[in-house]
Amino acid sequence: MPLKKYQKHRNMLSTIAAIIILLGLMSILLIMNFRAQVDVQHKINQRIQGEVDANAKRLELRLQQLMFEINQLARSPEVGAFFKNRDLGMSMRYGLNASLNIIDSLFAKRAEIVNLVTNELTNTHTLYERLILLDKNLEMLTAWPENNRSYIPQKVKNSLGNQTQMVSYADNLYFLSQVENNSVHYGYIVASVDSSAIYSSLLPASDLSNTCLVMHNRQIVFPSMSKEHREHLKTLLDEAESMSQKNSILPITIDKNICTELPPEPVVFHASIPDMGISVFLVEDISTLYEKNTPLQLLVVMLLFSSSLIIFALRLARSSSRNQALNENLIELKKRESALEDKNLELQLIINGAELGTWVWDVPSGRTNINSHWARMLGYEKEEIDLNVNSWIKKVHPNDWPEVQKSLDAYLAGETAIYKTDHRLMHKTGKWVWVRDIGQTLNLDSTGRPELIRGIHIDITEIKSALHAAEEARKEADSVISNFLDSVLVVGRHLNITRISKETSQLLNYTESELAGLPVSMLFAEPAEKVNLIFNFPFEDKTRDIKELRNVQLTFKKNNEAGMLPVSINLSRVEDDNGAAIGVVAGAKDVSELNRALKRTEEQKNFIRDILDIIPGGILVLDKDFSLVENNRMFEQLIDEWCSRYGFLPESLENKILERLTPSLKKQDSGEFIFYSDNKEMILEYHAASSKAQTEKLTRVVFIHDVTMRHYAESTCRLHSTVLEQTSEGVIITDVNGVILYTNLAAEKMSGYMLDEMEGKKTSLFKSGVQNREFYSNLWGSIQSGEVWKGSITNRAKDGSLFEVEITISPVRANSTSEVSNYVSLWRDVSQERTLQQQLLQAQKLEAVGQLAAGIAHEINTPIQYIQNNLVFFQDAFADIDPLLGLIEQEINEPNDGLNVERRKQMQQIIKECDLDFLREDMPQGIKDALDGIDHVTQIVGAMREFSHPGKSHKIAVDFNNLIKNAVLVTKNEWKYNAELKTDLDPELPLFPCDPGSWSQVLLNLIVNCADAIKDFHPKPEGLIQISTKWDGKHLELFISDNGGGIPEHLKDRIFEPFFTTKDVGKGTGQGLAVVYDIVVNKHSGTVRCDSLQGEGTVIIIRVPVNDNPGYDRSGQ
Amino acid sequence: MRIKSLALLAISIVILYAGSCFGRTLDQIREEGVLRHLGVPYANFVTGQGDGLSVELVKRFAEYLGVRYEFVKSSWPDILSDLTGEKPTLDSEDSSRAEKRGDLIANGLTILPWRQQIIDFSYPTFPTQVWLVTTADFPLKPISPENEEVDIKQTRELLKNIRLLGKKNTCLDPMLYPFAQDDFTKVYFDGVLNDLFPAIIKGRADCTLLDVPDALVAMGRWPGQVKILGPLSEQQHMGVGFRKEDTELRQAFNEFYAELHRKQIYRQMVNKYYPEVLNCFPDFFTSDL
Repeated sequence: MPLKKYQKHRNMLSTIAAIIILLGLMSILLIMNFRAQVDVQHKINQRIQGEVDANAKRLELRLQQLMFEINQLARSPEVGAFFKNRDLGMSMRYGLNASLNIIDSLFAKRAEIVNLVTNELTNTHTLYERLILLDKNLEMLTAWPENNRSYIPQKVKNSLGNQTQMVSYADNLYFLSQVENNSVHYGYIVASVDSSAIYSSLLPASDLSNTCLVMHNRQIVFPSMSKEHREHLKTLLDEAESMSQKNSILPITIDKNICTELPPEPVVFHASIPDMGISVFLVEDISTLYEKNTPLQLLVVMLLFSSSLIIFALRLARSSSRNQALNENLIELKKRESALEDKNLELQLIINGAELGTWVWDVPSGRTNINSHWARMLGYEKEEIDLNVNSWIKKVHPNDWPEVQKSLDAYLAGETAIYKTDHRLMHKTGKWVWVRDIGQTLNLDSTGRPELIRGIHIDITEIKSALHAAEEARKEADSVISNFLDSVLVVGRHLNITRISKETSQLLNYTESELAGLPVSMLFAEPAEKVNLIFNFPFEDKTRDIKELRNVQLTFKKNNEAGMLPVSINLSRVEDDNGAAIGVVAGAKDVSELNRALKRTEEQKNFIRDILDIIPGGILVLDKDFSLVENNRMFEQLIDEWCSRYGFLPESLENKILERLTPSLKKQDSGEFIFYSDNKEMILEYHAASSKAQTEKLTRVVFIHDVTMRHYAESTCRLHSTVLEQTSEGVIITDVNGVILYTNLAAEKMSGYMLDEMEGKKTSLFKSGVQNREFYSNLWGSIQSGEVWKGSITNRAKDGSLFEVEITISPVRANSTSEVSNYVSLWRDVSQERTLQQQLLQAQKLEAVGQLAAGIAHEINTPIQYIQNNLVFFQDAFADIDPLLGLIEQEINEPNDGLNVERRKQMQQIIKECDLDFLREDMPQGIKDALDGIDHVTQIVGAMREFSHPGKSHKIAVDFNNLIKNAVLVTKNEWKYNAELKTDLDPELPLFPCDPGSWSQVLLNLIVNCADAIKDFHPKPEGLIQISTKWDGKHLELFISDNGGGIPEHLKDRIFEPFFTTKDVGKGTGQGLAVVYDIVVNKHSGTVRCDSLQGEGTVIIIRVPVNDNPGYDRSGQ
Repeated sequence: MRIKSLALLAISIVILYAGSCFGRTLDQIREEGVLRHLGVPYANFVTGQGDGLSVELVKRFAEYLGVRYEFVKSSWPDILSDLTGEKPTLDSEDSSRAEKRGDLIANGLTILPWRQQIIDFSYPTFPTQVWLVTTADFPLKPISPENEEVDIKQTRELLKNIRLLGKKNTCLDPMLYPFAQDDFTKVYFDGVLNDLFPAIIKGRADCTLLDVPDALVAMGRWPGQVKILGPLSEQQHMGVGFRKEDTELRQAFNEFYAELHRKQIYRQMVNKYYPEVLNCFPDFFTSDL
């Protein structure tokens, strides 16, 4: 019994214990359940609030993007160009329409891009409903789409110009942006978007259990609802919002009679975008948001249930069904164990599948149990390791241990909810293995400190390696960027500088830290919009997968106004592992030198081009196919000039030239071709040079110019040369020293020398000696002073013969102002002329002789007559005295002493008869007279012979007075009947070098003229002819005067003209004074002057240099 | 020696004959299965990158004929001789042989009287006009439009004493128009047509002639830098060029083009490459051929 009682008591105790345990377990379970429910509810709230926040952020970003896009449109070059074109005065018909069309295209393109981008968000075909361009007077200029140009609400118009960027009206959201350029306001861009297309993206379409509300500028703009609803909700939301903190759940109570759309038990989540005046509300149905019952309700239910269960268990126990209850409990426990085993198996499966190492650490003893995965992570089998805390600590990498120890101590001290470290453990092979070590307490000891801790090891070596590699790569990249010699900068998605090379920071006069995070636009002198547009290129146009931009020209703006620096920038997009753009890396190169070099090159190019353009000829560049690649501007001008000059058609000449040039160039690099127009010809000359450029393409540079005039000049020159060569006059060109440079054929013919014999020789080659030194000195003095010298010179030919030429020597100057460079001698061979002149002179002399013949005959006849008379007298006298002479001879021959009387008588008789005394007296006189007569005749004949002598080609020294006497004698018969002739001859007159025949002619002509002048005017004895000579030391002066009728004034100038005469026909030939002039002036360098007074007479004055007289033959002296 | 000369002469004749025999009838084109499109890269007609309004048009025509399309690049000076096999000159007296390299010309070829003496044109495919264009900073003010005749007169007055850039052998040669006699300096450009406006920017001349398509391209390419002063010619047309003897091919093209025009497909093609011109010359693309 006691045993039974004990048994019963024991059973009782067991039952009570079981009930207490059950109660305890139930309580714990209920509490845990309650806490879990509260946590779940809190987390749901957090999740939904997070979603609302995220949606608000997305909405903000989306709206910012749209605003940015509209601003971009407003600042686009196309829109700016329209207003600029309008300012330039361009008309709609010519240009502005096109400019608007370009904007239309831009609008359409922008709308299409937005559609593509936003399709997945909005699920609509279009986001923008309209894009409108207004001028500043709000007149619509153009709109997209073309067929949707409806009006703009007044509310929106009112907002234009007051800095508002976003206006909600009706179901639309309007984005507004001003069009400006250089602070000048031109107009507006207005974009209209269906607001539901924007806001509906906040709501997952499939979930209809919640409702989203959007309030813009304190007005509910989404969803559409009646005004009454909107006002009611607005009031509720305003009140709730004002009572709560930011971004928290709002307690509101909805009037179900008004807002049937909202759930009956709403809970409202709220997030705001203050910058845009937008609030986002998410209204959730509380009944669907959480479980039906709140945690408290659930707790009550669970308590009731537990109580019922206990009561039921007590009843079971009381009804002796304890065993059954126990069995049931046992079954329940087994089930739980089974479930626990299942869980364990599942856990094991997870551990094995993930190859997780597990460990259980008995803290007090320090012993640690591990699984095989733990051991294998370190290269061991489980059996090989007897792990405790100390051996584990030894395996931890010394560098990691402080951190591990810190984490472990914190956990053991209850400071952290979980123990978690990443550290290295030593592998069996000695290498280090990275593990993530996570542990949590299983049991606590009585002091509340962990007693048994279970944990897992995850091998994160590969992850660490990857992270390490990534970190190394990052450092390496940082190092490369930082130490890059050129400027490198990395710009993030938000256009801020994320990394920059030292070179760049130094270049820009910043520290690296100053640059970090700075907006990239601050580095450049260009407008921020432009810089942002460039650096935003990966995000600008997502339809074009642009990887890089190259050679973008920008200008670095140095810090603290340290100057500007032009740079050329290459930009590449930086991508993440998925290939999405996350930024831009830009390499900048200082191009100031390059720009300067380019500028210099450009200047040089312009210089060369200018030179090429002023070269007086066309320059053509042809490729290997002879196609025209380039030509200088001069070529085009020349084409026009040639067309105008020669009458070609402008449009065809260039082609004709190229067509002619091609075959010519194939043959030779230089040449000429001729073009014929209607009546002219044009000759072009070309010179080509070939070169191989770097491209290995053969190019030809052709210089082409008009040589028509040159040809003409050459032709003229050839003609001149031919004329010069073939002219009958000798031409000799010398330098200033008289060295012969050129002679023509005539000169060769005259001189007998060949050109090569004369070239290089001095003109003294021809010196004949006829002219004296003074003559040559005067000649050179004359031409060296630049005067033309004319005169006659007797030269010596190669064969030694003399030839006389009339020479004109002209000094030649290279140009009108320079000094004399050459002399040109023109030789006119006057030998023939001289001969003819001589013959003419002779003929004229003979004519004069002929004219004088009667007079001379008379002059001779008179002495001849008395000679004849005397001779007759002598003949008679001789006949008279001849017998006497015979008697005298007999007397002389008969030798007796006495004179024969007979004979004597005969002699006396004869003497008497012949009047011997008379004879003896007269005969000597007779003989003398006869001899005088003979002398006279001899003189006349001698004078005539002298006079009519043909003369000499050279001069001889003569007694000029004697010449006068001869002339007087010869002409005596011409003047003696009309005038008296007186001579006054200077006895000091020296011998005069001259051609005496010529001078006799002069004197004859002058005396005859005087006699003729007197003959017609005075009867003898008034007529007087006076001849006088005078010597002044240098010149011989001859005066021949008459007192005839003189020369009429109007004829004075003509008296020396050939064939001019005032005498009657048949009396004069007109040659007399012309011959005088020629002989005195031309031949003897003298002067002849005529002074005449009509009615008074005439005097001829001749003045001749004696020593200077050319051709003085001293041998003749 | 004589035999050699004869042989050379024979070879020359054969080469010349062969060179001139490329011209093909429509049947030959179909038989050989290829249509050769002669073109010069110019504006958006032949971009040089495998597309362009003319390229797309001829590709569609080749498809219409059921033959393969082949582009043959030419140059402005040679384009007509590449089609006809004869090198023409303006005085039309001096011509020589050349190779016929293509079946038709399509690259914005303006229908000009002197060209019509050498080749035949299709129905007009594109409207154009020669405009006087300069840079934004050049001190000439655009005209105030009234009507075409007055506009041209006003624009001619702007030519006084300026250096005007043109290009020979194209519709932009000043000598082709009445204003050639006006008081200005002609400057001929050797580069491609697309570079005429850049040449003005570089100061090669004061103003340039541009046809409407090129002016529109320039406005899009250099926004704000192009100043259109006014027209210098009446409205002109561009067309596709054919050898005078290829009447069948031209007829086939005209039928194809009329169909394309009627179905508004051609308008869509123009809108793709020259959207601006639809507004500049709206009647051209809406009226019947």
